[in-house]
Amino acid sequence: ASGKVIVMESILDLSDSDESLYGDDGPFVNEDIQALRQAWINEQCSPEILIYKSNVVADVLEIMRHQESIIDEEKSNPESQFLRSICQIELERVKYLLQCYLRIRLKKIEDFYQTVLTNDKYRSRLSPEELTYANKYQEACFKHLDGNFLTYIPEQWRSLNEPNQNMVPSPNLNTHVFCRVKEDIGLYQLDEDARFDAVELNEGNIFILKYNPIKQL
Amino acid sequence: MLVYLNERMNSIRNLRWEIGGTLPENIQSKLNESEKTFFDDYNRSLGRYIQSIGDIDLTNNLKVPPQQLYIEVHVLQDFGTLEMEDGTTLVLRKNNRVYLPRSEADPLVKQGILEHISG
Repeated sequence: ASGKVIVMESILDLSDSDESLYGDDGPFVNEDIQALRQAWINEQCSPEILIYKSNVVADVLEIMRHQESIIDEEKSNPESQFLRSICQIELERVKYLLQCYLRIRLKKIEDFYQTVLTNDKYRSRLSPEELTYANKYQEACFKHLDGNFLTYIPEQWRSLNEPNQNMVPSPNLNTHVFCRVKEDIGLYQLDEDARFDAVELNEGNIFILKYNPIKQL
Repeated sequence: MLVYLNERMNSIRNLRWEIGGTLPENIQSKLNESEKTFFDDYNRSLGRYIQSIGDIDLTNNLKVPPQQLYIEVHVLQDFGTLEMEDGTTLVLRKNNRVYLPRSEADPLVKQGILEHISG
């Protein structure tokens, strides 16, 4: 999902504090953290792995380190203890968000490791650390499967990547996802054969749609 | 056959996230050598990834964003002296109730040494 349609949050609703954050004089919450949250939500709701938001992660890490150093500095100042606690809990919550984002990506990499490594589109969406991780994971899996089973069976059955057998799990691109429309798109044909009516996609609309037809938006 | 092996691999992966880097004896005895190696390899590469992203431990299993800095816990086993990040030490004796920072308490809760008291 690129610019026009963003995949919305699922049942996990962290937005209970959203209303208070968007005051009339602008959002109180840091933009980078908002971006991270959106990236996490998108990742959570999309069946395939999305592009790694390296700027967002780097920025958030910097914010976190800065906050940590403030917390450390104020350790001995008795007057700022209350604020310090608030800073600490806020830091923990941002860390939690970052952990969620990275964790869901790792899970997708593990579940679909063969697809992710062989498909260039997916490979390019990984961070360098994730790519290393994916390769190591594949190594570990193959070593285990080889040692236990594959070396004991005849040569012609050994490959795990047989194209005509459906042994390689890959993300199900036809599952339904929640999404919200960011810009007016107008009538959009969901189905290639035009068997179903086109859907009117206007800004602010919220839908549950099959992932495949809308994924490039 | 592959399905069987795959399912076991998935369970083994989950164990790393739920329990941690060392498996208790009763689970270890159920794995064959190759699975133990798989677990170790998995553990190692996960550790390397966590290090490469700045040591943000991804495995602390919180289901909701943390709401409190400190949580009250019940000590299930005699643990001895716990040294915390800021240098202070605390003795954990069985059946004591203690307030600990969440970051210190969570790994011990996972290991079964502490029990989270909610409410």
